This record gives sequence, C-alpha cells and structure tokens, in this order.
Amino acid sequence: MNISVFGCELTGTVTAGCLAKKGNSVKLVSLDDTLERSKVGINLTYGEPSLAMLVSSQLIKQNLVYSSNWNESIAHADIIIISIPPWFLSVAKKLVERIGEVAKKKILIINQTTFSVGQSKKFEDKIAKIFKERSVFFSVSVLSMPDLISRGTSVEEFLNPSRIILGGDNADALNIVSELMLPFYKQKKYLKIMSSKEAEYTKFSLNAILATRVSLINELANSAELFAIDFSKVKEGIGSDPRIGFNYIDPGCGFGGPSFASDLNYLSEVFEKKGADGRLLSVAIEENETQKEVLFRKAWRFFNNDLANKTFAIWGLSFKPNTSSVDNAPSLTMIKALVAQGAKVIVYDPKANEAFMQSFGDISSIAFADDMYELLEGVDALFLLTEWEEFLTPDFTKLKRLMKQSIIFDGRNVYEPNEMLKEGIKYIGIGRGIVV
Amino acid sequence: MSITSSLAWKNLVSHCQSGMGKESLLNLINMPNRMEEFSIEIGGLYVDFSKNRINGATVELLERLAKEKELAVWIKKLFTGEKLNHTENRAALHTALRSTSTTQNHFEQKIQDDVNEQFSRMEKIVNKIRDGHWRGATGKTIKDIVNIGVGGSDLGPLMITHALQAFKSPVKLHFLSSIDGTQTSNLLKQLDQETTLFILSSKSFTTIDTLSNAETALSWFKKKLRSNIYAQHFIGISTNSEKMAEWGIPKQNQLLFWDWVGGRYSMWSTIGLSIALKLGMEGFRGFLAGAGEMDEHFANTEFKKNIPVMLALIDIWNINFLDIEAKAILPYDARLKYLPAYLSQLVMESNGKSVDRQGNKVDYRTCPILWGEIGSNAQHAFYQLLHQGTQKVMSDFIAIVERDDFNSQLEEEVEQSLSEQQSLTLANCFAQSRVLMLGNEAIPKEMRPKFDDPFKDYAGNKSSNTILLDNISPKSLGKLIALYEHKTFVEAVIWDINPFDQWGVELGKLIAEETRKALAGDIELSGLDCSTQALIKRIKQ
Repeated sequence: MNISVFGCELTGTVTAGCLAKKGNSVKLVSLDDTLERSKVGINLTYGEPSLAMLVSSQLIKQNLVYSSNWNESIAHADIIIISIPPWFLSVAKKLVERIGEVAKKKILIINQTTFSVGQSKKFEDKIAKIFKERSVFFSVSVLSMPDLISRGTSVEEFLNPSRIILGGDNADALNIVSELMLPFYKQKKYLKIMSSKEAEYTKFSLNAILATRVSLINELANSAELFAIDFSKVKEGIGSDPRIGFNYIDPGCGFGGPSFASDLNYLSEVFEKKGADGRLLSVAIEENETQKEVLFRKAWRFFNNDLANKTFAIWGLSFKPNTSSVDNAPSLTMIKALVAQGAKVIVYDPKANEAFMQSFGDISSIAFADDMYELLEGVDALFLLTEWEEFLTPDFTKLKRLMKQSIIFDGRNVYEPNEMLKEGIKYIGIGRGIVV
Repeated sequence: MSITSSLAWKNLVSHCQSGMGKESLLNLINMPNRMEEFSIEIGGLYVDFSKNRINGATVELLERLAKEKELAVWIKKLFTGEKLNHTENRAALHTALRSTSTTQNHFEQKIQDDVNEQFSRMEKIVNKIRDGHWRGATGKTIKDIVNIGVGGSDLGPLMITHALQAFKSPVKLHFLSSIDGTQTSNLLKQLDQETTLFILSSKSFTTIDTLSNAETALSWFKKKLRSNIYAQHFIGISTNSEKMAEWGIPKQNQLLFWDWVGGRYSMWSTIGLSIALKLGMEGFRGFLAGAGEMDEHFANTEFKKNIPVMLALIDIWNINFLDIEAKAILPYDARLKYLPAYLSQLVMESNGKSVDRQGNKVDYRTCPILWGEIGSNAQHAFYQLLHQGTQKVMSDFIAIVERDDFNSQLEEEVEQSLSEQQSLTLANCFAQSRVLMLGNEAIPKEMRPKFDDPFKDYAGNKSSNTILLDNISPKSLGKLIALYEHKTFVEAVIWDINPFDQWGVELGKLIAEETRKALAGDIELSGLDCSTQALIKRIKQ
C-alpha cells in the first residue's frame, strides 16, 4: 500500500521503517514543508537499538523515501499517518486543513498521536467540512491508533506488538487498517477495535495507571526505610503475585519521558476543566516530581545541609537506558538542585550528553566526561540516575581508588547493599533499609 | 506660639464663621468649574475632593496656613534626612528606600549603599525560596512562609499581599501577630515542619509578642527535626543583628534595616520580604517605584496640585474648623480588606498626640478617630451612623476602575457576572458618597412623598473624598500608601507634632511585664489597684 507518514520523530520513523519493511511504499514526511528534501535527513540520534539499521536498509530498497512536499505526499497515499508530537497540535491542524484542500480521492487517516480525547473525530469533521465547501464528496475516515511503543525497545515492539488498539467507526476503513497491520499483530485477539475516543482514552488511562503505580511503589519504598526494610525483598513478594506482576514495581528516582508526562498533565487538566475528580492522578504527578529529587534530599541530609563546593559525579542523564532523550528526566531536576547549592557536578552518559546540554540551561557549573571512570577522580559522591548496562557491573576497586569518598547514591537500586558493605562503599539506594 | 494664634489660622476661623461653616455641599457642588478646581490626577490615580465644604477661598487660606507653617521647608527636611523624630533623635528616611533617579541625590551615599546591599541580599533569598532552592533541614523545598511580626512588621505585608492575591506565588504566606497563641496553634496544625520557613520580623528583636510566638514555632520544629532548624527554617529581619544572633539566627539568614525606618514605614525595607516572596523581587521593586512616584509628586508639586498636601489641608479644615471628629476609610474592593487597619496604625500612631514639638499641650484638635471596612460590607453595618448619626464623620471612598484579576480561564458566564458585580460595586460607591453629600436632595422628585417621614430624613452635607485607582497593582498600591503617608506628615507639620514617635504605646508594654509577674505570683498584688487585683484573683482561682 502507499503510505505517507507525517512526522519524523521517533514514532513516525519507527512506523515508516516497519511498514516499509513489510513491503509498503512509504514516504516519511517532514513537518516543515519548506525544508529541502535532502535535509529531511531523518534524525536518528534517538540512540534507538536497530532503528538506524532498519531505516537505512529500507531507504536503499527505496521502500522508504523522505519528502518535505506535503501535497505530493497527500496525493501519494492510500493511507496517511499522523505521527506528530502532541505539543504540535497546530501543525497537525494545518496538515488536516491541507488534506481537505488538496485531496483528490477518498481519505483514510491513521492518527497515532493522542492529542486529546476526541481529536481524531474533530480532524475527520474538519476535512468533511472542507470537502463540503469544495463541493466534493469523497469519504473521510480518521482512525485512532495510539502509539504504544516505548523508547529503547520501539522497533521490537512495533514489529511484535502485544496488542494494537484501533479506534474508529467506519467498517471499510477499519478493515483496510486491520489488513495493513496484520503482519504485525498476526492473530485477531491482539487487535482491539473500539471507537476513536475510546482508543484515545485507553492510551491516556494506560499512562495514568503506570504513573500511579510507580508513584505508589516509590512511596512504599521511601517509607520502608523507616522500618529498616530493604524494599527489593518486598518487591519480590509483591511481583510474584499474578494480579500484580513485576513490571513497573521498581522504586527509583522518578520517571520521565516525553509523552508520559504530557499525557498525564493533559488528563489531569481535562479532568479539572470538566469538573471530574482527578485527585489521585494529580498527587501521582506531584509525587513523581518530588521523587526526582529523592537522592538530592538524601545527600543533603548525609552532608549535613552543606553541599557548597562539593563535587559530585553523575552516571546517567537520559530518562531511561538506551535512549538519548532527556525529556522530563530526573537528571535535569537533580542536577539543578545540586548546582543551586553551590556544588560542582561532573556527568557521564553514553548517549545523552548533548541532549542534556541543550535542555539544561546554564551549564557553567557542569563538566561533561567521555568515560564513566574519568569523572570519578576526587569526587565526594557518585549518583546513579539511569540504569545503562555499562553501569551495572563497574570495577569497584577502580572506583574506590578514584573517588575522594566512596559513597554511591543509587537512584535505580542496581547494586546490592551487602556487596557494597563488603567492598567498603557507603551505599544509599531507594528503600534499601538505610536511613540517612 | 500656638498655631491657633497665627494670622492664617485666625483668617480660617473667620472664613468659617462668616458663612463657610454653614455652607451646604448642595450649593458648592453646583459652582462652576467645581471638578477642574477640586480634583487631581497623577498616573493612574485620580482624586476627587469636590465633595468637601470648601471653595477657592478656603483653599487659598489653607495654603497660607501651610506657608506659615513652612511646609515646604519641612518637606525638604523629610527628604534630606534631618532628624525629624527629635524625641528619639532619628531621621525618618523611608523615602530613601524607594528613591528614584530624581530624589536619590537627596540621600547620603552611605544610606544608598546600605539600602542597595540589603535589597540585593533580599533578592537572593527571594529567588532562592521562589525557585525552590531554599531547602528545609530534610532537603524538601519550602512551601509555606510564616511571617511573625506585629504592628508595622505585620500590617503592611499582610495588607499588600492580600491586596495582590491575584499574583501566583510558589509559596503560601501566613501571618502571625497575636500574642495569645490561638492564631499560632491553629496555623501550626496545618503546616509541615519540613516545608515551612519562619520570618521573624521585629525592629528591635525584643518584641515580646513576636519572640513568644517564635519560641512556640521553635519547639514545634523540634518535635520533628533534629538539626539545622535555625539555619534552614528561620530568617530574621531587624535593625539589631546582635539580638538576632543571640536568638539563634545565623548571619546569612539575617536581613537588616535601620533606626531611620519607622516601624509603620518598614514594609518598604527588608520587612517587605514577605511581599517580595509573594510578588517576586521585580514586583516588590514595582511597589517601591509606585511609592517613589508619589514621593516625587509630593516633593516637587505646587501645593494646589499636590495630592497629599491638598488632602491633608482639607482634613485640617474639616477637623479644626468644621469640627469633624472621625474619618472612615471605605475601599470598595475586598482585596483592600486590610487597608483600613493599616491606615489606622499609620495615621493614629503618627498623629494621635496632644503635645507639640516643644512638649506644650496643644489647644486644638489633632488626629481624628480613623476606622473603616470594605464599603459594600460596611453599608450593612455602620453606614447608618454615617447617614443619620449625631457624630460628624468624613470619609475616603476608594474604588478600582478596572478589575484585572478576573481569571481568564473562567467560563464566559462567570466572567460576565463578575463584571456585572463590578459595575454594581462602583454604583454603590458613587451612590453612597452622593447621598452623604446631598441627603434628601438626592431623592428623585417622584419618590419624595414616600420619604416625608422624620425616620427617613437624610441631612446630607457630609464631606468625602473619592480616590479612583486604575487597577490594583504593586505600583498603584505603592502610590496609594505613600499618598497617605505624606498626607499624615503634612497634617503633623500643621499641628506642630512629631508624627514619627509613639510614646503612647510604651508604658503599656512596661506595665504588662509587671502584671505578668503579678500573675505568676512573683510580686505582691497589694501594690496594684483594686480592679486589677480583683481580675488577677479571679484568674488565679
């Protein structure tokens, strides 16, 4: 099928690459329609495993081409896919108007972005209205197929989804898209069909549940310390209950990510506007923001409220491993808090140094290292904020030799308190039974 | 020589006796050019004083009185830091705190430097707290700020932060002043030690009210926190660094002001910290700038166009010649709820005196009783007395032209109804001053038969001013407060009294200490009067 994917962010790129891989003819279209085609050059700095490989192989096969020409891409497509970040609603509206103005045949759109509950339907109505003004009578369907991939595993998840949520009310359109996606979901039971509003609400609800779950786990872990309990043992007990399972029950120094936070804020705001009761969700969001500083508070107490002129090493800046994104990452909040107290900070991340520099603002008190050990020399403590694989089994002897004081604040609970004790390292995790 | 034996005063007496004292506002208000003559506007503040029993001749004579009292010289003395508070040997230099490029050359460099240094320290503290980087002992950001202070250390910040409630602030402000402890224990129940910071505001840092509340706060902290309580949870503001240190406030948490800032003028100094925390330092500087504009106007404008001077002279006329004994402050906006309480301190603590600068008993009336309330509420309370009582009262009506704090997020209908309420508020304000002025004459002709009844008689002829502010902003409030400060000063100059001391409140403090000892059983009751003895005995039963 001929497909045009509008939006070259992670979701758009993964979608275009995977659809091309299954033999479709895909255009990946820049949101800036004034851009020269050669410059569309898709931003593959996500550090997303196997994405660069996927895209380049499909470009060579010419199943995938770049474009910045909106009109040409609209004409090309049997199916248009909107994959525009939710904070670019105005661009999406512009695109929808353009489709209405230039389309010369029936229109089928898959909206992957959850702008708001009901937005897909609004797009559909808008195009129908423009068609009416033009006195043309092509059919229009806008289906909602919320993007459910996670950073770090996006290609794998698109190719082998645990389910696909598809929302719409036009049977023909639903059939066509079901057919398009069949090579991925493979069995009908993995395809969940509902109205487009329901599909959008599903995506928001998923993120709300995950956020609340993580915030509750963090609260339980933080409080466990007061009983001198190591929450990682408790976690084993909780996770083995089939009603709960092991996903999203790891305490840590807060969650980040681009859409997670924006989805939650949207939902919380829309609840308030509609007079619905969204207290639990608001608290979950607020708790997460507080949790991003949990290691700061521990350090603040550990160093007796005086962090001025201390030097701290940070391992990990990205909001989770295997991505270069620092969107809403705890590292931003943590490092701001440390620097505001007059501390010096040296950071290392395998991929996110550059994104961090761009997002952080004034970086004059921050040094960036190219090596995970180099930055440890003479520091007063080490903070681990992202559980990149290379941090999981470091050379502790080297680490102790380099650091002024062997203190680790572990925001992801990747080390074992007993082993740290044996190594002679002061270890402070989250909910590990050690009160600072 | 008393002012009453001066020529200007005598001329005013005969002006009053030869007809002006009996002149009715109904006649006066219809004089040609009334509004041109008896209103003044400066940037966003309009004052209508036409509803006073004055004419052009009255103003001429009042101006002569001001000249006789060398008002211009006194204004200059105020701005150049002469020790006008002669009973305490201090200047009253609150204007130096808000100096503008044209007024600043009056002040000594040393004063400017001191002010700049403290404001820049204040700014750092404000930013640190507002940005969430001031941490409690356990590392949490500060969410609640409690200002403990009394009198000048309380009323000003309370009034301004309440008036500017529409400003979104990352911290929530609370004010504790009362010595009785109820306020304190009620508040502490709602707060969390980890996220609360106290500001101890006291000029001398010996005020028993403030220190006893501070002790209560300290023991409340000790219930939850083990260390760093002083360093992370208390800021002190005082003229007395040593006393602050003695109490436990570390140097870096101390903000200073100086003995040349009177308590009731202190919100322009570092005592304004809570205002700055609410508005941000930029907002606080806007507040100072507003007052600075009024300072410039006051220092540089001829008397007839000078708002503080005119309002003061008219009140002198009302008080000393027309025998009006009370003044009502009637703001028509709930955000100005604390303005009457604030002005009652400013005016009555300044001018509630009965000896002149030389210590002689005065033979004329000085400060009237001043009180007030939000106008629309007071209409259902004490306006009865204003309209039909036997006390003569003059009033200041204060209204806001544009309500700009309506939340733009509001549904259209709510917005609409709020804006209708605003018209209704203004209508009430203007109606009341009109009825006070005209009395029965305000009744429309066709309705007069209904009012033909001694119980429905409105004498009218009651004086008032109306002050219109374009909006409530840091700047407009700065201007309004400075207006009243200077007006109060001008009255003091005419009455030849020192408006900057307050000896009247000192003796009570002293006797309270003795009485406390008596209550505690540390001294004999027999030295006390029978009434006090009886009261103490009842308590100790």
